[in-house]
Amino acid sequence: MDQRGSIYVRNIKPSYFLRRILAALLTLWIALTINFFLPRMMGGDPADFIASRTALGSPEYADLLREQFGLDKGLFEQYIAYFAQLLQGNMGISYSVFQVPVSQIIAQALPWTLLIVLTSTLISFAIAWVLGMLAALKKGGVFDTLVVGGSFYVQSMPYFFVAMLLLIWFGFELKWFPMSHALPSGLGDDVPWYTMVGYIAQHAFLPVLSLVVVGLAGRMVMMRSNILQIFSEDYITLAQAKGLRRRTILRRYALRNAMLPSFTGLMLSLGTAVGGAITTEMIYSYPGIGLTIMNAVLSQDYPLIMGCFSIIAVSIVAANFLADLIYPFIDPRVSLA
Amino acid sequence: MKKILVMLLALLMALSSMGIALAESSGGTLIVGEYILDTEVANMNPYVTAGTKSTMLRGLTYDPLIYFNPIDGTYVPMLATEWAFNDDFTSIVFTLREGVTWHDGEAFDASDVVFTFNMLNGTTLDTYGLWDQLSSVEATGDYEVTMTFTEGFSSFLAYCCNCYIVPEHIWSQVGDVSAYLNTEPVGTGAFIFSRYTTGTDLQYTANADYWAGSPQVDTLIVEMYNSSPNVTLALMAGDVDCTFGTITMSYLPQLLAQDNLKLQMYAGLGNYVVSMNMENELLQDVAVRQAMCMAIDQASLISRCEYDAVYPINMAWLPDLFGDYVNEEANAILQYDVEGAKQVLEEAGYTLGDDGIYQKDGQRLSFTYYNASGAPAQQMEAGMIQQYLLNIGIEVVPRIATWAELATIRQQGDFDLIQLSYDLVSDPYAALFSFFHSSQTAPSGETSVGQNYFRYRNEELDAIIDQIGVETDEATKTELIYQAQDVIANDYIYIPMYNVGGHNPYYDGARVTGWSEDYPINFSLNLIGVHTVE
Repeated sequence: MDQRGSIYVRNIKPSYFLRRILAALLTLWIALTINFFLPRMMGGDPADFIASRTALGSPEYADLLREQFGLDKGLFEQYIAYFAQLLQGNMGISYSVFQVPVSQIIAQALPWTLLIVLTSTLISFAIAWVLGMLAALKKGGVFDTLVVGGSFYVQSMPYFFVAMLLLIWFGFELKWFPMSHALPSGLGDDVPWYTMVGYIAQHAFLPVLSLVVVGLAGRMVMMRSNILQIFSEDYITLAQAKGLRRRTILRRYALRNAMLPSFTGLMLSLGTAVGGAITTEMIYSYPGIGLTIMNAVLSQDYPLIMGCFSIIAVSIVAANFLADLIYPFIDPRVSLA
Repeated sequence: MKKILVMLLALLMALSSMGIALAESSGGTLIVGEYILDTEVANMNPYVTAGTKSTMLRGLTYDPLIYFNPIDGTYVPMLATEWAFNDDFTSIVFTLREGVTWHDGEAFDASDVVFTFNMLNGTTLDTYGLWDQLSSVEATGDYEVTMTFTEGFSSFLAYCCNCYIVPEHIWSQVGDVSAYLNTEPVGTGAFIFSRYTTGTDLQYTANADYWAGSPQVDTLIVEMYNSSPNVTLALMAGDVDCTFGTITMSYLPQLLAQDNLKLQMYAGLGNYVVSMNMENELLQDVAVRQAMCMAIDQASLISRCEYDAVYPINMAWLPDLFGDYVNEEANAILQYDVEGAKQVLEEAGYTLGDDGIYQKDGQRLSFTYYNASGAPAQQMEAGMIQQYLLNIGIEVVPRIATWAELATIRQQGDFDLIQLSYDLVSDPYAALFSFFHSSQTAPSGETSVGQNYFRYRNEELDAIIDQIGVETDEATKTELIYQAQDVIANDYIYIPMYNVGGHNPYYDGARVTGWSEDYPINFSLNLIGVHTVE
């Protein structure tokens, strides 16, 4: 163990990277394959469904749609076509909004999702780390009791309820924040950028706040118990016995180790961020990928379902891969052999 | 910490207030709140069925030849001023309105109409399968179009209302029209599309040259909401002036308590029923079907689940908006009567088993019952109906499926009972033919040809319906329609629930006024009269 805590990584071998990359690719292939079959295993048929929405939904019309969607071909042929398209970065054409490329639909929704989900994840982890640490340092104190008690209270409330309360208080009653959308309506073309930033921040405030409040509790309690657990380790007792200053012990020994499990949590949360937040999007009428996925599933839009799930699969695999690469740097005990 | 938060709040408010001075010009703005998603407006081709919610927005930018007014059941002249069928309904001549211009200033004439209809031929844009019966569409003058059909097509007008006329000078240049996204729609409608902000709104400006007169507001904004409770809340907060589509029914009493808020209600073309599958052995007994219909307390169902904002339908199938074509005697055949229902079963030889379920020859009256998942009102209604059936000793095995799955289950006849809506066409012949004619069904397990999902076959009724289609004398036609409804009513083919037309909430006198009660609030001839309160 390197006593000074400097970054020192042993045994980095090229074969390690290769193995990780291959594992990531294999995971991705399996995920994308499941992704192809999953929507096709749902009951119902997209062509029949669309045909049934018009007054004369006839089998001939459904056949015409099936041909246009390429669903008249064999399953294996469709599977090959799907991968061939995906490799070229083409996610196909949506069925429910026919002729609109899936990539365009995703590109419209994804930035908003990333904005609120990433912001809230980072804020909630940051606050959770600070509060969790403070609570652990003064274990059993008034602050600790309040914070832990409060988190159990918030944690036990369902998310949609918290979000709706915030909406009713700050949006409907007090009118401090808009109740919906990512931007004000009636926007012209000549809005200066700083006003635009203001609008975006103002509209994102409640969605982000709701996600922070709900995400905070669990992460904070985890941070607190990590620190407490580390305080009971022998090396902390030894450090105290050596007469090291409390600050030094905290910084050099306790915090770095306590962060590790939280770091894994953070990386996983970032990976799943592209999945969106369906409930947030519904309650605040916020544009995003979550609702897009839900509606794609309900309307049997195979290419859209597959496109959204591919993005999620890629992000999660990428975040895990990154975490694997970064981990040895922040925890020297993990080697890259 | 607290200080930072307060400062951040102040900054946010300051930043956004700088831009509050949005376009507020003389005529003012009408704000419509809609439960409509980005995916539904990504394609503005008026012939692509991207969810039903976007269809009502098409009428803002485009006009059809004629409009069906559900409030009084009449056809309103739009781009066509007159129309006349020949004697055997094998052709129709439309006289077009002169002096109409497209949003880009080009003149509208017969060639646009001819182009629009011919463009649909053989493509997925022909959602009603019109070209199964159309044989030609030709200009017979600068402002006259003649269409001919392969056989008598008396219900053509009903479909014509959903065909929006598009400009030939643009659409003839786009190549494959079924692949055309039409992101900058140019129509003849009352409002000109101007801007779409993802997840927020669609903006329209008034078409000052509109043939029926310029809209009085300068701008119309459609604010997009992700769920019906959101729209309803926005209405309650006064953020929007009206909504054309879905609201959350359970909020209705609160909503109606708002000052200046009115609810426009009219019967429509959506019939909600529980369909019975006639190929089920037990359901082939008309006594069983009759008893099931008698078991339902329709009034209670409508008031508890739909807050009386829908209309009752009955055994004659045709809803109220068909006016004089509705056979009230056929409707009166059914009365809610639990004891009577049990008596019908007992007279037909069924005996109550130890388990409280009626049976005959060892067969229990037990049926699968499909309804939609994720639709709270539908599930509540299904629960009530299942209990009503249990009350008369009929067992129901509940099954839940998504709308998409239900569509397939219904087409394939893979059900005993299924609770779903049917969209009728605004023509009595089409509304009867497509649902009850033997030619419009298929054996269970095969996709039904038309919408006769009941798998109902009756030669007597087929003959009557065939006659309606070719009958030119109005009195005789009405008499035949009455006869058809008598047959349908006496056969108890479905359990009637209710008819959904419009239930559109709008503020009158708060920020805007000038609404007409003669047309639905989403119809352009109504919208052009709306103006801001002085």
